[in-house]
Amino acid sequence: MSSYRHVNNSARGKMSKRRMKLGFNLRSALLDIAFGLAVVAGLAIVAAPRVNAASGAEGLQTGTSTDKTTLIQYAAGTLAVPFKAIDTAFRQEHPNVTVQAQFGGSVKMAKQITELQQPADVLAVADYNVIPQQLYGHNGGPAYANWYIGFAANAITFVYTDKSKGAARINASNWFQVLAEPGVEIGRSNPDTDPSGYQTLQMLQLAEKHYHQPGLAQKILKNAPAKNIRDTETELIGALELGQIDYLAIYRSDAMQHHFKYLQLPPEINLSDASLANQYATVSVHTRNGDLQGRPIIYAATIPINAPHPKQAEQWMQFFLGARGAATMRDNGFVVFSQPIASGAEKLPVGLRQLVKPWASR
Amino acid sequence: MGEPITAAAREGDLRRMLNRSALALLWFPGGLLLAFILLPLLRMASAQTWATLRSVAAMDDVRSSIWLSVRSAALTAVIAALLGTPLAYFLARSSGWFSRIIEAFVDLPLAVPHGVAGIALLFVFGRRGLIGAMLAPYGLEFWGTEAGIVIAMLFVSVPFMVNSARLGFAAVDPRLEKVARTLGAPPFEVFYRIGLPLAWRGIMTGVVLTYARAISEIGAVMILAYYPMTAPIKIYDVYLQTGLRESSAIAVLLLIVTLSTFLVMRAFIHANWRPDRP
Repeated sequence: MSSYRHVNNSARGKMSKRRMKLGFNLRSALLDIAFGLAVVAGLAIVAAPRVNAASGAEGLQTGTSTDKTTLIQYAAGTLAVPFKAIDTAFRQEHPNVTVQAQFGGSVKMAKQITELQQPADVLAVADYNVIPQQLYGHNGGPAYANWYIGFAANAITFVYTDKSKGAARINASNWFQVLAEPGVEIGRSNPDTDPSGYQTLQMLQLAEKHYHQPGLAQKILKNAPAKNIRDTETELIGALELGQIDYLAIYRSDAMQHHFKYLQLPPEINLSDASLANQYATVSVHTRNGDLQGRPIIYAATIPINAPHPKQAEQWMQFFLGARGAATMRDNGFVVFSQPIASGAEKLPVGLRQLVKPWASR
Repeated sequence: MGEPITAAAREGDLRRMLNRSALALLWFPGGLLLAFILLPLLRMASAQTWATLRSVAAMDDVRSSIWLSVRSAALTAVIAALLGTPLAYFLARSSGWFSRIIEAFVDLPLAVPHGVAGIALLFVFGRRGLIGAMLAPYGLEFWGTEAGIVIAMLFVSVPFMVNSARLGFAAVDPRLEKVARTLGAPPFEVFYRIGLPLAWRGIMTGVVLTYARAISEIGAVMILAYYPMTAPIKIYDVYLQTGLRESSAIAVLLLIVTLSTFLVMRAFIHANWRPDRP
C-alpha cells in the first residue's frame, strides 16, 4: 500500500501543485463572483423601491407576452360567484385575455389601488359611494378614477338555518320580535369598515319606522354584540352553520348563492329599491367615518385612470353590462337595472356611453 | 475536480479553502438572508414619522390591543411549555413507529390553513361544540373572548414548542439518564434533574418560537375573536379605516414590543439559570 501511495505521490506531484494553483484561482474567482453579486444585490435593493414605484403597472404587462393580456379585477366579495362565471364566458369570446380577479371588502379593494398602488383594470364595489370617496382624489391627492356605472342593486336580509333559535316560528311579519328574544345570537359585519355593516344598522332603523316599533333596533342589536362582529359578514357563515350564531345579516345575493333560508323583507326597509332613495335617506347611523345616511345598495364599477389595459377593460365592461352579464347577475340574486346608470357620464369611454343613462335621470 | 489526486494534496487544498475562503463564502448567503429579513422591516420602520408613532402609541385602543396580544401570546407560550414539554420528552425517548406517527400529528397544525384551523376549533369550542357546550355553564366561553384567542394561538403555534423541546431532549445523551437510574434515581427525578436542565435551551427556544408565532397569528384568531382586537387585527382594522400610514405605525410599534420581549427571552436562555439550580 505504502509503495503504491509513494508512486502515486511522485507521479502526480507536479500536477497537484498545478491543481493547488488552480484551487487558488478558483477561490479568488469565486470570491470575485460573490463580491460582484453582493454589489449587484446591494444596488438592486437600493434602487428597487424607486423602480417599483415608477413602473409598477408596466411590470405586470412585461410579464405576459404581447398578444396575451391579463385583465386585473378587484371586486367586492359578494360579486365573486357571478364575476367568475362572467369572466369564464368572457374569456371564451376573447381567448387572448386572461382575467385575474381578487375579491374582498369594497373599501379594501379600493385601497389596493390607492394605498398599495396596485395596477387595476376594473374595480367593482358593493356601494357606489366607495368609488368617489376613495378614488376621486380628495385634499389634493391623486385621482384614480373619475366615473362609475351603477349596474345592480342588492338587499339586506337575515339568513338562518334549521338549528337557529326560533327558526320554526320566524316569518316576514314577526322577525323583529324573534330576533329580539333573549339568547338569540345575531352576527353582522363591522359598520366602521364594511358597507353591509352600516347598511344593517340603517335597515333596522327603517324597520323601526316601518313597523312603528320604537326601540326595535336597540333590542335586536343587544343580541348582536361586538363578539358577533367580523370585518365582513361572510366570515361568519361558518359560525352560522356550526350554530355559534343563529342569524346573520347579509346580502340577499349571498343568501341565495349559499342556499340559506332568508327573510323576505319589504323594499321599504331592505335598501334594494333605487326609487325609494328619498325614504332611505330619512335614517342615518353613526360610524367612525361619520354619520351615514341610508342609501339604496347600488353596486358600481369603474375602469381606473391608470388601468394598464383600458381597451380590454372596456370590452369586459361591455360584455358585463350586456345581456349575458345581466342574466348571470340576476341568477345570483341581484336586482339588475334595465339600463345601467352612470355618474360622470361625460368621462366614460366612448364604447360604454350608449349602454348607460345618466345617474340623475333615474 | 473529478481527477484523482493524492489524499494529502487534497487535504491541503481543502484545508486552505476552508480556512481562507469558506468563512467569507458562508457570510455571503448568511448576509443575503439577513438583508432579506431586515430590509423590508427596516424600510417600513424608517418610513414612519415620530409624530405618527407617538400619536398611535397614545391611542388607548392600540395600547390595549398590543397588551392583549403580548398577554395572550405569553399565556399561550406558558401553556404550550407545560403541555408540550412532557410530550416532547416521551417523543425524544421513544423510537417506535407509534411515536413517529404522533410526531406527524403534532406537525399537522403547520399544514392547516389558519382560517380552517379556526373553523375546526369552533367545531369543538363553539357554543354548540363538544367542549364549548360543556364549559359554557361554568362561564368559560371561547367566542369573542381572551380564552378563544389563546386556544387559536395555541393550536397554530404548539408544534414549534414540541419540536424544539424534542430536539433539546434528543441531544441529551440517554446514557446519563441510565447512569442516574442505576444510581437509584426514580424516573421523574431523572427527567427533572438530568433531562430538563440539559434540554433547557431547546425548551426555551420552543417557548420563544411559540410566543412569536402566537403574537403574529391573525387567521385562526379572527374566526373565534375579532373583538377584543389583538394587535394584528387592530392593524388590519386601522388599515381598512384610515390607511397605510397609521396601520404601519402600529405594526412598527408591535415589532418594537415583540423585539424587546425576544431580547429578554434570549437573554434568559443564555443565562446560566436552570430549573435545578434556582
